[in-house]
Order: sequence, then structure tokens, then C-alpha cells
Amino acid sequence: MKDTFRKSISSLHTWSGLLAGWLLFAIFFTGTYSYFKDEITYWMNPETHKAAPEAADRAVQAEMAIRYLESSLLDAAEWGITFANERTPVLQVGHRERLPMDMKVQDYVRTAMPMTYLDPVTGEHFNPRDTEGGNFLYRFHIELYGLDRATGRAIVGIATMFMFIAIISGVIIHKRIFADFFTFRRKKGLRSWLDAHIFTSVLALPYHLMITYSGLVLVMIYILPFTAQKSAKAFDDHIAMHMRQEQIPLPAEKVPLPDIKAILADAEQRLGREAGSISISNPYSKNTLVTVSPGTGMDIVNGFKGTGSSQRLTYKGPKGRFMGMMNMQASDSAAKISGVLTSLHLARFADTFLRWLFFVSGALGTVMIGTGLIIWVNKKSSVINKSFGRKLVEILNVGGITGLVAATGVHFWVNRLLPVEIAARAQWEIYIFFAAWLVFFLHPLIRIPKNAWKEQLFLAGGLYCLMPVLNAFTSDVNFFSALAGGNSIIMAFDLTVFGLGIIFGYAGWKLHEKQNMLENAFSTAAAGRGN
Amino acid sequence: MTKSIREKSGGFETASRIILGIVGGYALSAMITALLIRVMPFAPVQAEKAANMVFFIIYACALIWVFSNAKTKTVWIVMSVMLALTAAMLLLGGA
Repeated sequence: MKDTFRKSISSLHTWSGLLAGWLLFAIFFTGTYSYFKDEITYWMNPETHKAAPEAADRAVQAEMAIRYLESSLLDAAEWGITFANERTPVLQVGHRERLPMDMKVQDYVRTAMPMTYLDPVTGEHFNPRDTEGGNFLYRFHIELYGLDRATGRAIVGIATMFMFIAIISGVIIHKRIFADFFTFRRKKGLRSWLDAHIFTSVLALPYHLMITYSGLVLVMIYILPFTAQKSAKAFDDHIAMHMRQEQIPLPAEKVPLPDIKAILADAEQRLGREAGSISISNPYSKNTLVTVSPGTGMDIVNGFKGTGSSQRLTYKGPKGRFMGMMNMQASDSAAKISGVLTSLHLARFADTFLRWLFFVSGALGTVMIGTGLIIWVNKKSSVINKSFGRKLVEILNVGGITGLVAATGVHFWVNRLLPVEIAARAQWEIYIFFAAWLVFFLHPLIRIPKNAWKEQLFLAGGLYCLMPVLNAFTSDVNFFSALAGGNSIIMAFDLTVFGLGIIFGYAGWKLHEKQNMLENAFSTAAAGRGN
Repeated sequence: MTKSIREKSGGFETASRIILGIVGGYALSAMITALLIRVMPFAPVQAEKAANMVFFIIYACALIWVFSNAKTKTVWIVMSVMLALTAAMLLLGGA
């Protein structure tokens, strides 16, 4: 009886993992990448790298931002200013267009405000290239690509449910969860893959459970339409409110802007800490609303989406009259729990150390899914040897695992090499990424999968390892000047991609070296296990 | 009792489990969630949030149970009874 139970749960684990496997691999990979999306966006805008590491005083930055906004983005429904910070060390300014008054809510897409970059010392506009930066794969993580919000998030949500089932059933079938954690049999073919799968699963198990469950909570209004009507309506109302804020007519007579420097000083005094960003809604009107949000002191329980802080100060009209401080507080324990889960998933509160810990855990999760998919192919190889299903999975594994890793490498390179003056450049970066990914899916059809694995790993290794060189040629800051000038983002980026490249290359080399030996080991190990 | 689901008569057994687990489990968990929303001591939107957070746990348990039970017949009967019961509670309590 007990044995039957374990076997049934084992097949549940296998199938829930396999059916959503490649999608889950992509979601985990892009999600892990997204922990550093701000830093990646900064890297993908090399024009901004020449800025001095020490930004000017925030009052000076505000003044420079307003000067730029007044001179070039005059007709806007909203302006945004984000001060230079640790993760994006340049001054960001952005705006939202006025929307037509007859626009319908269903046609409205709420995205992050598009930002451009100013020198945080001189206020000079950097003229950055047209790119989505790290936001492209971040959006892919949440809602894939080319789908509307609800469909994309529902698909991701369903895949996440598969993950949740795979994790729980994996824990159930794994009887010696802690003993096996310390077991790693190298050079044992299938047994080694299994040990790697178990090791990465168990090592970060609390993380895997947390990130999967909180992911489900984040998309629940899209996958639970029968029991989330009120939440969905609340969300729609929230979106509609944002749309109305952008549907404002040009003020008939222009009144001057309030004194932003005075507002900033007042806000920082009331907050008792640094301001992080300022939003100016409906500029030049009698109803101009200036909102200041703190840049530090992120709240893990409460927090406005977007800034991650629980406080906001508002000032109204040309005189900048103080309207009050909003202090978002969860109304009850349900709101508190979902607040904590949301914060944990988005990790906006995390400092550098915790962010790295999450990144490593996410990488372990990615490896866990990848090894799981590889195990399926190898485990079955002795049983249903040349079946169509096995071949299909074997081929899709290449594009789905190393293909995505290599395509992301291509995306980084395209960002730097695509000519700056091309029309719809940001779109082309994305198209080339997908084209490369498609090629990596087709690759194992032309070559046999064994060789495709190896070649894609070598390609990924090369692309990642040489990225610091690419950067040195296409940016004003290279690894050594970053080291000397204190540009920690470029320095850490170069070290990280180089390290990742070494890992990919090592994996490819190992595969090459052990290919024949592994082949034999696979079949004997699988036969020996007998299931 | 010594064979796993897949090794038994195959087609019907496996299809039963998939339908009972994915569709039946979803329907059952959704209805239990709807019942929970009514009894939770929170404001409507928060009650929904709280109950939906529990949904995933119920759904996961339902799925595991459907796949772990050795007899497909038992799963069919128990699932149908549970669905009928929760549906009745929803209909009667909805007035």
C-alpha cells in the first residue's frame, strides 16, 4: 500500500513537472534574472555609464530634472523623477502622455512610466539608446510576451500551480530528504543527475515553496475567476483610477509650478529620511499634485506597489500646500499576510546581500527544473527507448534549457551591437532574442541533441565570458575603470557574467569529455533502478 | 493493491484521475473557497483574498489525494459526494 502510494505520487511529480517544465524553466530563469533588472537596465544603457559615481545633492537633482522636463516634455499628464540611487546611479526622469478623454478602460494598458536618464551631477541628457533593458525579460516572467495581461498571467499562474504540485509531491516521494541532501555521487550518470536535482531542491526548499506560493497569490485574480470577483473589481477600479488621472485636459491657463525644492526639503524633514522619487501629476494646473515617496525604509508588510514603501506625502497647487502623509497600513491579518507574501516575491525591500541570496536560490530552482527535465529523458531511455515522446522531450529540452540561456546572452550582445539609429530599435532587440531562441530550438533537429547541448553551452559560455570585453568596447567604463572609479554595478556585472560563462563552458566541456562514459552509465543506472 | 495507477488498466484509470484531479479538484476547492469567503471575519475583499490564499492549499491536497488513492472507484464516489455536498451548502446558504 505504502509503495503504491509513493509510486502514484511519483508519477504525479513526474507529469506535473514535465508538462509545464520548459515554461517553468523560463519563468524561474527570467524571474531570477529580474532580481537584478534595474542593474541590467543600467548596463543596457551604456550612454549613462560615464556619469560620476557621486550624485549631486537631491535638491540640485530635482532642479535639473524639472529644467529638463519643462524644456522637453512640456505636455504631459504626469512627470516622474527618481533620484540616483544604489541600483540606478543616474537621475531618471519620465512622463505619461495625456490620454484622449473618450478612452475606454479595456483599451488602457498600465505600464511602468518610461524613463530617460540625466547626468546626476551636471543634469545633461544622456540620449540613451532605445531599449527595454531588463524590463523585457521581467515582463516575460510575469505575463510572457504578445499576450494580453489576463491571458499571459493566467498561463503563468497555471504553470505555477503545476510547480506547486511538483514541489509538494516531490517532498512526499522523497523519503530520506535530509540524508540524501548530503549524498552526491559524482560520475554516476543518471544517479548524478538525480542527486543534483535533489540537492538543488532540498537546499533551497523553503525558497522554492515561498516563491511558488507567493507567485500564486500574486496572480490569483487571473486563475480564480469564480472566487476573486471583488478583488478583480477592486483591481479594475484601481486601473480605471490611474487612467482617469491621465485623462486630463490641458489647463486653460497655465499657472507656475510649485517650488519643488521647498517641497522636497519639507517632505524629507517630515519623513525623517531620504526621498526616493517625486511624481508631479497635471503640471501647470491649479490642481497640480506633487507626491513624494521615500527611497529607503521599505516596508515588508505594507507598501505601495511600485515604490515598496508604505509612506507618501502629497502637496497641491501652485503654492505646494501640504495635503498630508498617506501611511498605508494593512487593514487586517489577511491583508498583512498577502502583503508579506507579495513583498517576499518582489524582493523590493531586499538589500544587496539578501538580493544575492534570492538570486542564488532562484538559480538553484532553475537548475532543479532543468535537471528534472533531463532526468525524465534519461530515466525513460531504457524503458521506452526510441519512442516519439522521448525524442520530442529530448529535443525540446535543448531549446528550453540551454536555448534560453544562450538566447539571453544574445539579447545582451544585441543590445550593445544593434545600431543606435535603427527605427523601433527596442522592438528589434526583442525580435532578435526570439529569433535566436527559435534557432536554438531547431538546432537539435539538425545536429543530434547530444552535440546541440554541447555547442549551445559553449556558445553561452563564450557570450557570457566575453561580455566584459564587449562592454569595454561599447561603454566608457570597463572592468578596470569601474574598479578604480567605484562603479560597483559594472564591476559586479562583469564578474557575474564571467563566472556564469565559466560555469556554462565547464558544463559543455564536461559533457564533451564524459559523453561516452555517461551514455553507458545512463543505461546501466536506469536498468539498475528498475523503474 | 500493489500496482501504481499507470501500471493498472491504463486509459480509463489515468483519464479518471486527471479529470477528477484537475477539474473535480478545482471545482471542489473553488466551492470550499466560496464557502470560506462567507464565514471569514474580514471585509469582503480581504475575505476573498484570505480564502483564495487557502484555495491553493486545498487544491493541492485534493490533487494529491486523487492521485494517491489506490481505487479509482473510491475517488469517483468520494469526489462526487463532496462536490454535491459543497454545492448544496452553497445553494442553501446563498439565499
